[in-house]
Formats: sequence, C-alpha cells, structure tokens
Amino acid sequence: MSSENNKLCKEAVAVLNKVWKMSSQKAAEDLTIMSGDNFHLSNMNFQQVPLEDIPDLIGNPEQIVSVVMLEITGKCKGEILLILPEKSADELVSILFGNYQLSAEEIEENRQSALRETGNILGSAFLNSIAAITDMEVLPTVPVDAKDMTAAIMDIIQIKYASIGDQIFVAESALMRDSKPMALYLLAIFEPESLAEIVKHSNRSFLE
Amino acid sequence: MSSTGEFIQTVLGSCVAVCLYDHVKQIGGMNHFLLAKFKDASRFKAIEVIGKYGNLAIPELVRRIENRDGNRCNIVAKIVGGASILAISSQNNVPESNVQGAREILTKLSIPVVAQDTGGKQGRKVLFNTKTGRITINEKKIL
Amino acid sequence: MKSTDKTVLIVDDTSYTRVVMRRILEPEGFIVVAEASNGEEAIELYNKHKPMIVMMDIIMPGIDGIQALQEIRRIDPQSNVVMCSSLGQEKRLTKAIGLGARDYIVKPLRADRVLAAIRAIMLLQEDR
Repeated sequence: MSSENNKLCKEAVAVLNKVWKMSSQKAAEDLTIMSGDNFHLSNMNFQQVPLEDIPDLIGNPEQIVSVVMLEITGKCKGEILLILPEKSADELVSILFGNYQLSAEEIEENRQSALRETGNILGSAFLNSIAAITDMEVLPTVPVDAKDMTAAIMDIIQIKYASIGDQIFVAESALMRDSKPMALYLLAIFEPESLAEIVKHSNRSFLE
Repeated sequence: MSSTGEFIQTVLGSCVAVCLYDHVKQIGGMNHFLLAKFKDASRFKAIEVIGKYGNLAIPELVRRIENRDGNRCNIVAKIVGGASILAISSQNNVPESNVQGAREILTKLSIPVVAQDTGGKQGRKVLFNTKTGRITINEKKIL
Repeated sequence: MKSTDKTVLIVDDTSYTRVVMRRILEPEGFIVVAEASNGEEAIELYNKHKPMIVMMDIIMPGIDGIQALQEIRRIDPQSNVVMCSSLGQEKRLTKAIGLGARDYIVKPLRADRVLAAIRAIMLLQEDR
C-alpha cells in the first residue's frame, strides 16, 4: 500500500474507532430501552482484513446465523451487518418481546421483524454518530434479513468488494448482557472512497 | 483438485462452484468463484486472483486436470450455487450472472454441463467426491 | 369530517415496531384504526380513516415517510404526523419539521416519549 493510502487508513481507523466509542453507548442504551435488560457493547476495532478471510470472520463458516444487513448510502457507502448465532437470536427475541405479553405464535410471526429492527437501530446509532461529526447525510437502506450459514452470507461481501480491492475495512463488536457475553456481531464495512470522505469531513475538534 | 479420491468441501451463497470430473481417469476438481468474469485477464497470473473469477478459474482447473493426464474430452461439469440470500441492491443479478457466465465459459471450452443445482434463496454446503464425481448438497441432495 | 377521537394510524414497515406501538397506545385508550407498512398505504389509509394522529416511520420501501408526510399534509393541512425513526440526523429532523411534522421521535420507542408527543398534540387541538 502507498504511504498516502497508509496514512488515510490510519486516520480513517482513528476516526471510526472514536465514532464507535461515541455511538456504542447510545446503541447499548437503545437495546436496554427495547428490552429492559442491561446491555453493553465492546469497543469496535476497525482493521483491514483480506477479502479471502471474510468467510471465517465470524467463526465456523457452516454455523447457522441470523443476519440483518443495512446498506449505507449517500456520501458514505458500505454495509452494516448484525449477525447472531441462532441461540443468541432466540435469546434476543425472547428479551425483546418479554414486556409485551405476546403469544408464542405472535412472537414467531414477528421474530425476523424484531431482529431487523434491532439491526436498524444499532446500525443507525453508528451512522447517526458519523453524520454528527462529519455533517454529511449518511443514510441506511431498508434492512434485509436472512438465516443461513455464515460463509454463504459473507459471500455477498466478498463479491461486492472483489472488484474494489483485496482488503476491506471491517470492525466487529461484542455484546454483553448483564455482564455476560452474548454472541452478537456488528460489522461495519466501508468502501475505500468513503473512508476518505469521512476523514475529509470529520470535525477536527472531535478528533483531538 | 484431486486424483486420489479425496472429498472437496465448500459453502456457497451467491458464489458459484464448478465441479469438473474426468470420469475415465477419475480425477476431479472444484473452483469456487466470486464473479464470472474478470475483464482484464491478461494482467494477472497470481492464483488468488485467478480463483476469484470464473473466466480464469475454470480454464485453470481444466489445465490442472490435463496436467494429471486427464483428457478434456472426458471431462463433465456440474454447477452449484448462485443463491440470492439477501435482497440488496448492490447485488443486482450477480448470482444469475455467475451461473450464466459459468455455462458460457464451459460451452466455449466444450465441456458439457451434466447437472446443476443453482438459484434459490438458501446457501449450500457442497461435498464433492472426486473419485465418483458425485456431489452432495446440504447432506441431502445428490447431483 | 375529521375524527376527534383518540384515533391513530401506525405506519412502519417493521411489524415488531407496529406491535410495540400498539402496546404503548392501546392501554392508554388510543384506538389504532389501521396499520400501514409503506408510504402508499399510509396515504390511502389516511384518506379512508382521517385519524387524529399518524405515527410515521421514515425509511420504508417504495414511498418513504417524508414523501408520505408531504402528501398527507397536502391533502389535509390540519393533519398531525409524528415522525418515528432510528435516523436521528439533524438534517432529516429539520426537513421533517419544515414539511409540517408535529414532532420527531428517535427510536427505539419509549412509551413516555410517544405518549408525551401525542398528548402535546392533543392539547394543541383543544386550543384550536
């Protein structure tokens, strides 16, 4: 990588890590409001990952997971993914509906919708923070969801970024519920030009 | 690729796998590519890039089978994958294009496609028996 | 004639959010006259029911909440639309209020925030 690109990557990583620190508390508070349980999200460390390592990013490539994906549009382009192994997805759905006295049938009907909304809210917390420090409009698309093997889902990321480069910027965060870890992955992926935009528009006082 | 009867396994979402099998020599190989066509094929030789694109990966696999005394006239193909798991705009028709692209490349190489399990909305766990040429998909379906 | 009952139209493409909104409103005596999952349905159902309040999501497939807000306000300048969105970005908020939204709630939905927004609108209605 050229030294100019290297500098950009380092600056972008610094900005994004700060943005995450700002938004993760809000995101955890949002989950607490939705569920009534006490949540905490770990630091999200952005790093460059080779494209070929993407299928293994979440662990076992054959593991069945629920995924919610938002595409990021506007001046920033990329994706945000919420990935939960099935046991965590069941646990989270049960917590989200805990206060509302729904029948088992109603819960099942609204299960994927609850996960989609969770992905929407967590992803938006992050995007709202980027918007706040850059003054750019950073918009998510309507979230989509699926349940499948991890590697099958991560194919989409590999395909999209195959023609862009060999490496992508990705960060993951882990979720804690009442100080116990809950397997949940929040991935944020940005196109390289978008990283340059984020750095260019970042409020300098935010970075100090 | 294997000429000793090994199993090759992969997981496919939108990507496509082309399994090639010389039924006389019982040699088989599989590639798992991201996109059907890499346009600037002349520039790259690195195996990592070749593996990503169908128009590079499939001829390379044929070449390797031939290097192990396989014969192109005895090679058949089976195509698997190309599912649309998440309905996102950036994906457009990539899964279908991947499958179509694979068929076109194989036609140009004069390799017949004897079986296909593609499309749909679910991923596939693929196990390819290079000795028999048989493919098992999601531990249930046999191609 | 516009109803003065506590009638509400819920507009959100996520069924989970519609369920949560119902669970907040119905125990307080509000009547959910209809639910819509996109902007087109929102406009159609508004015309049909003329609810006192519309709780409107923004990011939806097809016509989004901002466009639906504009159309409903055009049809009925007295309409009361509250935007409910996970997008807490100032530009969006300002735009929605500028187009006539009565309030803007950032998700996740909190019962106290939703009810406070609606009661403020009801007070204004009484004063008219």
